[in-house]
This record gives sequence, structure tokens and C-alpha cells, in this order.
Amino acid sequence: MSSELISMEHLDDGEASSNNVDEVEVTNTPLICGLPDDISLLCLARVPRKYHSVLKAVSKRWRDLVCSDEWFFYRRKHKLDETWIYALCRDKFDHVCCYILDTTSSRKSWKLIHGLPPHIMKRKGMGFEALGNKLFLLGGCGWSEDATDEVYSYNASSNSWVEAAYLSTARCHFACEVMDEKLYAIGGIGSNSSDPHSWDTFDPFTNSWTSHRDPNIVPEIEDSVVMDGKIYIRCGKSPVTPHVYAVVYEPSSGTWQHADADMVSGWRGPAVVVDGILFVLDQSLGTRLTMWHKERREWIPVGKLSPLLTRPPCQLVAVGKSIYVIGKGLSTVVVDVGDVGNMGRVMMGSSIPKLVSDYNVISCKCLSI
Amino acid sequence: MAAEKSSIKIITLIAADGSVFEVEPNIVKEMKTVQSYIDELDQNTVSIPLPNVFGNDLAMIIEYCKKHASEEETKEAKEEFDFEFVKRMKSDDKLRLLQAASYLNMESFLQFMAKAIAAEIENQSVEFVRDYFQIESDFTPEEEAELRKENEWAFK
Repeated sequence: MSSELISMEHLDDGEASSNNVDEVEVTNTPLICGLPDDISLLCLARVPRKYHSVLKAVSKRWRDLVCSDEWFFYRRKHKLDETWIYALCRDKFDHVCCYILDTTSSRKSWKLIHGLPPHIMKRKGMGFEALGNKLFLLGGCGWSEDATDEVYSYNASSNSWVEAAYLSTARCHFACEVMDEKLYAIGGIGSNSSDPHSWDTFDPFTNSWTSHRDPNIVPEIEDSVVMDGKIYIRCGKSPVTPHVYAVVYEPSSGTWQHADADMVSGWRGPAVVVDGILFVLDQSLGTRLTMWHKERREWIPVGKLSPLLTRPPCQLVAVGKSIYVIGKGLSTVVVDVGDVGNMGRVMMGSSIPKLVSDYNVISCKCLSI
Repeated sequence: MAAEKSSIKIITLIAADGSVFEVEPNIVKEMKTVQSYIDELDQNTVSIPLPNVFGNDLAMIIEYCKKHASEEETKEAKEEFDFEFVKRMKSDDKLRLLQAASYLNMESFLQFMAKAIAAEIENQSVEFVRDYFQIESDFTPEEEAELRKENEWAFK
């Protein structure tokens, strides 16, 4: 109904109008007077991400452009995209909140994102992932609320939250990863009716979830990471399996297998993959960064982080060859692992001041636009 | 055909204001619009009217092309030239040069100007950007207020 109205308005303006209801297509006004739109895009897409909010406020056409897939893919294709880090935290009232860090800024500081749907702020065990220009908050449960299949997404271009396609299975405290442009929600605790050995995949192009099942998937999940095009999941200890073990998903066969035990033995903390190398932060005695050497099949200490700056428990995220170690109150230490030759030394890195409050960091993700 | 073309010694470009520029063929190599004109003709001398480009701008573009077409200049010297070239341009020059680059269909000069324009508008206010490109806001006052709030947040 509304689309018909748009066409009508344009006909009244005396503009040639086709059946195309996309406002961007119908409007004849160029983005910049005297320039073809592709040339305008060539210029505007070169404006750093920090100033996109200014471009969005110029006119409706500019806003639609900056929020469009065309903009997102153009910047990605021409390597103009810039990565910001998004951190899911729990504040002193036990409420979930989301902070953002512009990694390209010279004066780095964490900033609160507004508009998180209020009724999910008390949820625990939610999945948190970034796919395309969107963040996803999936599932979760509360002390009086069973596991849910609800999904919310935050569009980082338009800075808005919307409800997204529901999970196939209600989940809480599960693994959530992105691989090959698809979102994976794996294992965790479900509702009574849900299958404890299942995982769901989300395809953004069809906007739909598909459910899968494998006996190697267990409800107790501690951590997950994507490496070499495979998803690794560290499973929780149970009476049946008193030792730490992990399962790995092979997309080629679509099955879950037990992962290399030597590799898993050193996976004792938050993990991140940089250039195909798995790094783990061991927080048992101070904070020490270690890496898994694939050829030698052993864990190698990379370095000890300054106890004055890191405030465990931390989460890890990588931007380029830099690992961001994000701890309590979002106190952040940046460690460059581009040159891992300097082993065993206390590593120097830049640091980003913590917030006033001692928020706990649940999860951190990167999103590039 | 190819032999005839290579015999062209001088190309005459006529700007919108009637000013005339005589250049060597290698200078216009990047101007695809001019190039397609030359390809259509099989004369030894060509004169090409460019009704969308003013003399001052064309002079600058030719200066840029000469520098970049030169084989004697080092990469560093060209970068230094680019830096000074941007510094010399006024705000309005940049927009006109970009339009000219678009009209002449010059790929690398377009990229160069696009960067210059992007640098021109970064760190500027919404009002500046609107004014610069002569764009009128079509937002309602409520939408304006909302966007202003988002902007304040973005630069907090």
C-alpha cells in the first residue's frame, strides 16, 4: 500500500516513474549536482567511517546511500572499510549493555550504544556475533525466563535495533560464530522440548535459519573459535568427560569430530585467531599470551602482559595483526603480534583507559564498514 | 590506420571559454573522452572542443597529466607534486575539477580528485557539506533533531 503511494507522489511531480518502488531509483536528483552517482559514490565512500553520521544527516538520499548494501560492499571491495570493536558487557545492575571502540581513532575511548531493547537487558547466555554491517544478539535466558529463540540485530550503518528472524531452536549459553558469511548457533542449553545435540545456521541472503543435528554437539559449551575454515568448540567438563576436550566442525563433510587433543590442552582461556594462528590468553597466573604452533604441534609462550594494565577476566579480539585484550571496565591493551619473534618478553602495547565502572565484558566482536 | 594515428603530432583542446591548448598525444592518453574523439578521426591534426571544461581547470588538468606522463620524474617527485597540487586548489576548484575529470573520463585523476574531495568534507559539519554540494535538506524537523542527536553521540 505504502509503495503505491510513493509511486503516486512521484507521478504528481511529473517525474517518469517505473514500477520500481525503490525511492533511490525513482528519484532523479543526483547525489551531487553535476556528477553521475557512481562518481559521487567514489568520493563519498572515501570519507572515513567516523564521519558517516555527518553524511547521513545531509539528505534522505545521502542517508539511504550510507546505509545501503552498495555502500558497504563498495567500501569492502576497495579496502576502504574500517573496523570498530563492539563489546557486550554487564553493568553493576547486572544489565547487558553494548560499547563501541573506533580502532582507527587517535584518541581511542569506549562509547555506549543506545537503544538496546530493554527487555533483553536482563538476559544471560545470549549469543553475540557480527555479520555484514549488523550485530546479532541471539537467544539467552533469564532467572524466570526459559531459553528463548528471539534474535535482535543492530544495524551499525543506520544505528538501529530491530527484531530479526528467530532461531530454529531456543538456546542459552551456546556457541555463536560466523563462517563463510553465515551465522552459527551451536549447542547450549535449550528449552525442554529442544534437541540438546543440535545447531542452527542463518543465511542472511534468505534471512532464514536451518536446523541441524549431530551427536557430538553437547549442551555444555565454554568457548568457540573459527580457524582454517572450521569451527572449534571447547566443551565443558562433565562426569563423563573430566578432561578438557573440543569438537570441530568440518563444513566439507558437515560433521562434528573430536579436535586434536594437543591443541585443546593449551586452550585454557579466551582465544583469537590472527592470520590462521590461534592465540590464547592464559589468565591463571597473571595474563600470558600463548600461541599454537601448528607444525611443531605445541603451545609456545608469546609473552606476559603487564599486570598494571590488563584486568582479567578478559576477552580477545583481533584487528589486523593487533590483538585487543579487553578486561574489566573495558580496560584495553593492544598487542601487536605481527612480529612474534620477540617471545617470552613482557610485551609493550598501547592501552585504552577503562570506564569508571567495573563492567564485566561478556564478548567482543569486530565489525567493518 | 595505426600508422596514421601515430603521425598525429599535436592535439588542440578548446575549452568552454574558447581558450586553446596545444598538447602532445601522450598528455591526453588518460582522457578517454578525448581519446575516443581522436580514434574516430583519421586526420593528422585534430582540434577537440570541450564545452564542459573551463580554461583554468583544463590548464590544471594538463599540468597534472604532464607531470604524471613524464618518465623522467621520480615517484617521490610526483607525490610531492600531488601534495602541492591539492594545496593550491580552492574548495570550489576541487568540485569543478572532479566534474571535469568525470566528463573527460580520466580514471586516475578521478581517483585523485575523489580523495581530495573526501578530505575536504571530512571533519566538517552537516551544514558545511550541504553548502559545499548545494544540497537542501529534505528531512522533517523531527528527523533533523534525531540525526543531530546521533551526530553528537558519534563525536562524543
